[in-house]
Amino acid sequence: MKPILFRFLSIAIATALFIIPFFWLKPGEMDLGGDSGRLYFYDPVAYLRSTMLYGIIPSGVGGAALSYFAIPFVSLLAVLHFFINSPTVLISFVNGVKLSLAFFSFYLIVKELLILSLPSARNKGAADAAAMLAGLVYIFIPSSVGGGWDRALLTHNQIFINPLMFYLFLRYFVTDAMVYFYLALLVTFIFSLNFSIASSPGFFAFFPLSVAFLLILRKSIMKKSIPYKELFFGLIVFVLLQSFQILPHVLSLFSYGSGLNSLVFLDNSSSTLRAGLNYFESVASNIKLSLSLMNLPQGRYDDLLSLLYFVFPITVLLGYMRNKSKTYIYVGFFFLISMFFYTAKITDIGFAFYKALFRIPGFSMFRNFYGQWNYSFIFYYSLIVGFSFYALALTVSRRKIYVLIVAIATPMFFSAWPLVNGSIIRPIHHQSDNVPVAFQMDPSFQQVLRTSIPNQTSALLYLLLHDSI
Amino acid sequence: MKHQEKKTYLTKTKDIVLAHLHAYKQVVLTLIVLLVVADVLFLKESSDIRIFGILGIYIWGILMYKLHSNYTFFMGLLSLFLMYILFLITGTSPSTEKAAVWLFFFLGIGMIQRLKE
Repeated sequence: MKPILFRFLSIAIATALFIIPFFWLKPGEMDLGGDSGRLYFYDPVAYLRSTMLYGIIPSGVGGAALSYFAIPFVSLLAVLHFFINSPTVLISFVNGVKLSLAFFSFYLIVKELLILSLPSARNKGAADAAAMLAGLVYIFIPSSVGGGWDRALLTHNQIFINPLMFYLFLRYFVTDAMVYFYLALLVTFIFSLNFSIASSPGFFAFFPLSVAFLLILRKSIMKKSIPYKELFFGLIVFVLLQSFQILPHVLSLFSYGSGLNSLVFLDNSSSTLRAGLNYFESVASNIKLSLSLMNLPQGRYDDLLSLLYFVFPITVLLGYMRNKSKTYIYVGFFFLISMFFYTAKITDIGFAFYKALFRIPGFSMFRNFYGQWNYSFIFYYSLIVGFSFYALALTVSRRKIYVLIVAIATPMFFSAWPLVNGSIIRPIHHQSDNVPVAFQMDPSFQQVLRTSIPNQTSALLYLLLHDSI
Repeated sequence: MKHQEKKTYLTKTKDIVLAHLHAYKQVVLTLIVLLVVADVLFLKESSDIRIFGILGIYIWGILMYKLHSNYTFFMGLLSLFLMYILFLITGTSPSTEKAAVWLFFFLGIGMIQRLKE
């Protein structure tokens, strides 16, 4: 197959991935609820006016809750809602963007890295095939499918922000064109939430590691100097762009009695450390390295189907036996680092070292390390599978490659199916009488909302809507 | 004089040991493989001293016999095979986990070797 056909195929897959979520919800349905409520999909403008613009929790005794970081994204939703005028379509649109952009960004990353590793890969269909496979692995492996699609929080946007930002930075390092740098900064502004205190675990799990990886590539593979001036300039612009949401947190930090102030300055440090470690140890007791190596969800695996997932580590090992590319080796090192942080339980010394890291201020944000390192781990896992597939595609017969494609596609089909058919976003409410999460807003309820709520800012009326209120 | 004799004796002994080690390369490497297999299959408790001890011997083997990185990746495949069998029989038992830890280390060592090659 010619490379140009592969490129068309990649665009076709991205388009299909964009369309698929439009079949998940029936007309009028919404998957509201969860930790964030997701009411910003129902009425983004009202959500902006009632919640985002005020630093007060609209319940209880009205504690401080600074959530300015979501203003740009919810504003974008408001603009989209103005044109689309349907929460169902808006939810589907956002899900479609997440899926297709995650796949396409990942495809571009792998292609770019393969070209960097071996320039002749530019015209090889195998490189495109490997990049597409890696992109599909990234969105369809069990850890990714089970990684937060059900009533997704806004932080779940990291599924496409991580590869998108990585690609933009990679292109910047390869071409030195500032346009990629500016695009990356624009992304950080629109999705400020993913660069805020609310997303700090996901941010610190992915970006420091990835920036280190890119800098090593720049120095070692591209043989170029590190553009310190531009990076420093970018950092300053990034801080300025984010100042609208960072400054209130800084003020809150130094306001006596605020939650953040108490957390940082008043809490007994040893008991805080102990609480973080206790949580970490309880999570770690259920984590298995063997499942991580096969990328199976911890604690939830079917014995017979699970055996199919051995194809991933086998592909990686065989790939390393056949390829000597330096980029491939660096990918491998970063894969192992992310796996260490994702699994924690690699020898007693490794576990003790991990626990010692909790003495670093702020590291306790990784107490639920398995969830917080998930997307970083998936990223390097998919990267290494893509590179391994390419290494094998170049060295073994075509028949064997077809066997390998079938061997990889079979387990991926089983893990992808709940996402493709939408059942992952339409689960049944726990302990309910078969009540699905996705529901249609009752018109009479909407009428109650329109007529019963007094038009006063001093009064609040609570109406049960979903599991979170 | 006595010191010189002792030194010559030690050098000779070292040469003999090294010659034997070189002559019995396959035996030594088989022993290392057996140590890994025994650690995974027969010893219930995980021990860092044992894991890093065997790894130390293996790294010494790499330096001594100038082993190619593919040999280490093959050791990784062996660990994966053990992990597969144990996963099939015992699920995520401590033995399966030990095989996974060996796979992790062989992958890491293999990559370092590959980088040097």
